[in-house]
Amino acid sequence: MGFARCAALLVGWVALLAGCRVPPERNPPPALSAPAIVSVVLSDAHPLAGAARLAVRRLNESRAPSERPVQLEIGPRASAGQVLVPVTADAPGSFAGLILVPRRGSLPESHQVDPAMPLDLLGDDLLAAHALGLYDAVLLAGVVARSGPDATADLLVARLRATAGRFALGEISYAQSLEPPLGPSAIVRELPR
Amino acid sequence: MKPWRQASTTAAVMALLGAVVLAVALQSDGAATPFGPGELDVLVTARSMAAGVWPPLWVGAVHPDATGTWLGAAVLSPLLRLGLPDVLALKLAACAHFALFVGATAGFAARRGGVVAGALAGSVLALGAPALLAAQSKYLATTVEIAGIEVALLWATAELSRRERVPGWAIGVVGAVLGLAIIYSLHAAIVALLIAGALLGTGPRLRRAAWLLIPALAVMLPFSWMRDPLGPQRTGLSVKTLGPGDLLALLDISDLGTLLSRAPFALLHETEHIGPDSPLRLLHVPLAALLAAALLGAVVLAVRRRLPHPELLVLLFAVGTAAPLLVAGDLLGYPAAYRYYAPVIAGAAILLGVGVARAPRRERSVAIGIVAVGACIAPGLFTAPRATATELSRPMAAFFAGQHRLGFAQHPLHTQFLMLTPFVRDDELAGWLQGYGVHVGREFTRQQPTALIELRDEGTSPHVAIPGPVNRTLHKTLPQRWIAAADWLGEPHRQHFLLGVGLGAAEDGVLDARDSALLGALPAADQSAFWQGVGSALGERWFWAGQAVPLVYSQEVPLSESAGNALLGGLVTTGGRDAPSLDRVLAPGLHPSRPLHPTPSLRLAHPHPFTYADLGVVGRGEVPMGPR
Repeated sequence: MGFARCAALLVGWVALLAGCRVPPERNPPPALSAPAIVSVVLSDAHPLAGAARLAVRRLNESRAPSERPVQLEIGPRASAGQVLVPVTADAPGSFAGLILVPRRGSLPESHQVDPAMPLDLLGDDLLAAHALGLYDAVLLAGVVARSGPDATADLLVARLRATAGRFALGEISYAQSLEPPLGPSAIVRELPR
Repeated sequence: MKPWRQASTTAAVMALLGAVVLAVALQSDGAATPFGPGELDVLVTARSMAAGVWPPLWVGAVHPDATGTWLGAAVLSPLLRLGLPDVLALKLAACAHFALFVGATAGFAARRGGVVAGALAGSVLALGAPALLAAQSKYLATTVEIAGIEVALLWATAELSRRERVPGWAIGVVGAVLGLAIIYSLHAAIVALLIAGALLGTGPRLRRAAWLLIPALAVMLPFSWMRDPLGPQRTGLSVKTLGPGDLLALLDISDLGTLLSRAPFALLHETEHIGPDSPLRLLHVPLAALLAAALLGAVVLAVRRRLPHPELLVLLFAVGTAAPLLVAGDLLGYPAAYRYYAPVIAGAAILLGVGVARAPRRERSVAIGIVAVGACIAPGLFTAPRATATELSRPMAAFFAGQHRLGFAQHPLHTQFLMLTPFVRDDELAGWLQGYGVHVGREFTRQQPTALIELRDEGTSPHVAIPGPVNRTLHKTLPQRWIAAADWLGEPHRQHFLLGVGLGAAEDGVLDARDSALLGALPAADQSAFWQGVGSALGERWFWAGQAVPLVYSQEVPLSESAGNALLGGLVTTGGRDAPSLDRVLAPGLHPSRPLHPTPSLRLAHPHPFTYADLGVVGRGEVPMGPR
């Protein structure tokens, strides 16, 4: 390569580096910064993963300007600071944060099904209750996690206690107890990070 | 000199002339107002790209149908990345497109009729048609910008179709550029038909079709697939939300009448710079008549089968590209539709130049033709007191860009606004927020009823529903979600947004129950900015309509003193010295109990924020549709 070409490349490269690399004059809003991660302890191929994905889709479609996007992680491992939503009671406990354990049992009379819920999850009463329980758990975890940048267990619990609304299994509120009659029960575990 | 080199030289010289003319016009028209409406939209997307954040097509394009604006921003972004000032980058891009347009037209004409033909054709575009200069003075990435590429493609096709053996790669390049051009503007589909006809009319058709189609589709398909998952759905390979059937349904015979009656003044930039009754406009009619005569003459020759193939191609291009004008008049109205004249004028200019140059070989007649065309060209640039259409300062341009952030019912609220706001400069932010506030003030009233119907339809079964905390349709019905768009920016930026909301809500002179709900979602301490916006809207209505119409307000309680002061402040800001008294715009029952003192605490980004709105139409449901 001749000297002229080398010089032209060098000048071009320097110009690119010196140019308008980062035009924004302000940081992106919280809604566009790091996503809140919701981990579901579940195999990716598990049929219930569809319910979790739908719940995260709903979370992201509906977020407010001051809320963060939610990212779903499906798998057996969870890292520190994440909101964990175990499907089974024997979830690994190597994390610090909030666990929402979906209720199992029959569907309550007041339930409501997301119209986009995979039909194969609604085959019988118990399966539907399990699917809606997981859906609620992911929604609640996401609603709590997206509302702020911090994810310490205390803050998450405080936000959870302030969260109330009508979810798939009915009216859910944690103001009185972390084990409400209908919604997922919440467990806080603090372990060294 | 060889004909090819002669044509290239003519093209280059005329392209340079076009660029210089546009640059001089831009400079002389005032550097303080460098933007045209809509230009900053492209710039904000380009800044995002230059920073390495490539927005999805549905966020970066100013409208789902305006995919060209995303591509235009992509063209602009390297210039920003190189560190060029944004206005310079914008205008360089505009000049480059105009240079391509003039150069390709002149080159094609020179190739067919020699230097004289090229010079005449190029001069018509560069000097004789202020309308084209005005349209090209804004870099909006629309049909105007694609016109130069269309002519260049046509020229390349004419060159290729002259050869007996055409290399496949050359057809492939034409196909790829054509595919990109169609994504840029569907207008190029007309050229695609002509090119396909010209290249596939002879030679090995199957092979040529493959070389043309495969690159074209390879370029087009990714854009066709990059659809907005939540936005308006399109059919098939279309990149437009309006299909051909929808467009054809707009047509009727009156469109042809409008097109023909407007054609004599198509060369003139018919904006506020020259009045519709100014005699100066008549100076442009002779050149328009000459261009029309060239088209007509070519049609006669084509019917007699005496028109050479390349000129036939140009004729079909000019006539074919006139067809969208029938729709453009309906969709855009005049003078906005004039920008669609660009390819028609280019085709006519080529035919005129070639016709004069190939007149019967008597030097005198050719000389007379050149002088006649030159005399017709001369008034072009010099009769327009202002040749460009860039009348906005940076804050004004930001105000209009903020209004352009379209949101569809399917989108989460404020998505595009949130994704692009980080790329708005500090000195643009107030205008951007006021503009987005106007958009929100208008759209809440429009979208909330639709959202309520959708919400009702979602709940068709007692056990089927999306939970409320994550239901975007439900959120669209909640005024507090709309009014919270700028909370993350903090003060004082939030106040600018609220000022805009007041402007948008009272744009039609009515504060109905929905507007009141928006107001009610604000704490009392934050309502002053909203009321200043309402007052500004009333003053603006006075400014344009010349009559004071009392505000129609669904609440029957007197305004607070601070709200009254803010409203009065807004009223005098836009209404000027002759602004009507408060008694004339506020019903007696709404008057605050204490005397008022106008306190406009915020400065409007645009002294007349409804400049591009249809204020002549009064009444809810027929409210102004925003900037054009």
